[in-house]
Amino acid sequence: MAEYDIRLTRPMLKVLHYFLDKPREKRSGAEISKAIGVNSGTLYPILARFERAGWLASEWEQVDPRDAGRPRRRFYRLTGVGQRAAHTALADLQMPRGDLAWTS
Amino acid sequence: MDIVVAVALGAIGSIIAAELYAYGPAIAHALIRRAVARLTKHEQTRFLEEWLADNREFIGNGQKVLHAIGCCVGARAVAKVLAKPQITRQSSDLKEPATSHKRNTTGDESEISEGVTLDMQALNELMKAKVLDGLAKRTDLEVLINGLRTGANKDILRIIDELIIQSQEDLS
Repeated sequence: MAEYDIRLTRPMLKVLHYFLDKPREKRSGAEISKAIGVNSGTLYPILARFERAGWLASEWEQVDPRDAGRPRRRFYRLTGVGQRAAHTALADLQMPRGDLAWTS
Repeated sequence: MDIVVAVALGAIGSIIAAELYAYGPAIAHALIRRAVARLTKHEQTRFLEEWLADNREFIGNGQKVLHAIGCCVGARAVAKVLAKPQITRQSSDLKEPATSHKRNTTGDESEISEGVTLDMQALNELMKAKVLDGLAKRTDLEVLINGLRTGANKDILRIIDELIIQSQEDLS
């Protein structure tokens, strides 16, 4: 088993798996929550933890909230470090991408 | 008599439910404001905007309120995570990972050669780990710096210089 900075839980692996599908894509918290069915109470601490560890990076949506008439969304994307960590985590648990037991 | 009470209670319940549903977005916003109050002042601005924006993406008042309740539940954990010091990568993190990626040189260089975009924060951590590792092993500082400077841009050079000064101060 590889060494992790973070003790990975099932929802965390779901998040990593989701990001690995399209590593370069930026996704908002709501998008992630709806896609993988993890509620916001679990998801936001996970995103914060991954961001803190440098596995995810986040940035604001490129719109002016006054022009758009709504708050800006925060987009998350997988970093190179996160990509490696996710690959290792899923490989160690013998969970090939696209074939996770709980998503099938 | 019982039937009258049951009908009255049912009617009152429906009215309350309808009112709550109508005020769903307002309730959700209030809950999110309450949730971010658990964070520090600096973090409140970011998470208030982020969570309000996310809340808008949920369709239906029920889902909006559920999302907001989740924010309330998760806010404490988020505050806890953000209160912890940033994880510093040790030299062991630069070891070959158990993946199919072939790394020809050091961690950050291979990342760049693979065309993977590294964010500055992660790069900063890798550099810091390398500098500390080099200093711990008493590697000649000039050799170490020259090694790190290969292929680095201005921002990275600035970070390296800052880290070296900081590390030297820490050691002295």
